Amino acid sequence: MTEREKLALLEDMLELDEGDLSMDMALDDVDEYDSMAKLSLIVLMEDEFDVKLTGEMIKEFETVGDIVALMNK
Amino acid sequence: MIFSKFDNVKIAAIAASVPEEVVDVLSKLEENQEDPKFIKNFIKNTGIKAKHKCGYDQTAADLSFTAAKQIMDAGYYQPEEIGVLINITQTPDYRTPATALTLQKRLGLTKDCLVFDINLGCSGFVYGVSLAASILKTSTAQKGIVTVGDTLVRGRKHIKLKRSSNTGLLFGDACAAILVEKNAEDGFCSALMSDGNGFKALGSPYNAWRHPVGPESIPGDDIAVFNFTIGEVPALLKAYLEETGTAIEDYDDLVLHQANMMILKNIAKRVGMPMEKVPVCLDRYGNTSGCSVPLAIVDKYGNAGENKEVNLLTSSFGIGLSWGVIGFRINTKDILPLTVSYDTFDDGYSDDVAMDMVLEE
Repeated sequence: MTEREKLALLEDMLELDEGDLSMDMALDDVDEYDSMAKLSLIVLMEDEFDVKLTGEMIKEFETVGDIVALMNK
Repeated sequence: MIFSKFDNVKIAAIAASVPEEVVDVLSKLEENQEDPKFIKNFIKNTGIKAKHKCGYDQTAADLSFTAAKQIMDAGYYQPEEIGVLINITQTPDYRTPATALTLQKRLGLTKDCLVFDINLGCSGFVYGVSLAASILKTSTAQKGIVTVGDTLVRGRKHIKLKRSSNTGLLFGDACAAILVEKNAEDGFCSALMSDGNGFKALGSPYNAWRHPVGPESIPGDDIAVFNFTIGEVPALLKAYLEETGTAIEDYDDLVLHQANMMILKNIAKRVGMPMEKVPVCLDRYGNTSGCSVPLAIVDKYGNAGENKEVNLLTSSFGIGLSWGVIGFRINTKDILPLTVSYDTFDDGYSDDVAMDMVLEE
């Protein structure tokens, strides 16, 4: 899966337009990344990448790229 | 898991009751009480559009009384037949005595009866029914009533509550009653679990004995609760199916605690049950805590006017952390129509006198 495809998964999850997200974008600047989006992210990461996110891991995410880095396929 | 098999005991009737007042979640938008985007996202993600709310003169015990009386009035039991009454709530009438004792009095049950409260929330249905069945199996009692539910939306007179936005919107007030009785032919199984390591994930730690003063509720650890729910609950459902030698296809419905839509969809997907067979009532009643499984059953079958046996797989889960599964067969005619409760209880105590005593100290 390419980096662009991984970003597209996140854009789809957050109901953003294609190309809205970039790797170095701060998550604090993404309005759609709210508490509910974090729950959706848990499901996405487990279903698509078999990665179980904990609250601590989610707190440590600063940029979009931090999430993409865990998308291991 | 603690697995139990209750031969010769059945769930004989189910009823549920809600207060009259309906709160439309969208009205919070019009009243400008919350951030508009937050409300829209809340509805989209949780599926909760409305809920019922008790006024100051009504408590969970009143709703439970209405539901238990409805089953009695429908001819399922006489007061003297009841040997067990278990009331499961986080919003009791009093700190002491147990609210179940007032329900015993109000329902006119005899002294030959085990009567007590249990402090559990969303898992209340599976725990209450399992405990009632356990007592029936080991005692001379023939019939037991479980009442379950909370009034987490209702405010408190004289006290201005400070709540987190999610808590205020998420919950709805409702209570249910379940009649469990000895029966020569039927039986059901349950699987129960708990994890005290998660005691801080959800709760109201203030206003009791360790922390006597504080806010009514505090924000929960949403991520920990979500991970618990989509991990532990499907795992227990699968373990239950294996232990009972049944398959998900054997059940007419998977009735889940109505936490929110995201959780319902994820659990259903993980155990392979299509959403058409997962009853949803949270859109109109919110998250109704321990009452939500019986309420979802009543919402689907209570007014259907059918006379057919259905095989239900149910799971309740939440605060504690505490969770469980029960599978049982019931005839839909024994699932009574939803009632609106107008019951109240004049216990003779005065709120005004009590407030004077507080101020004098």
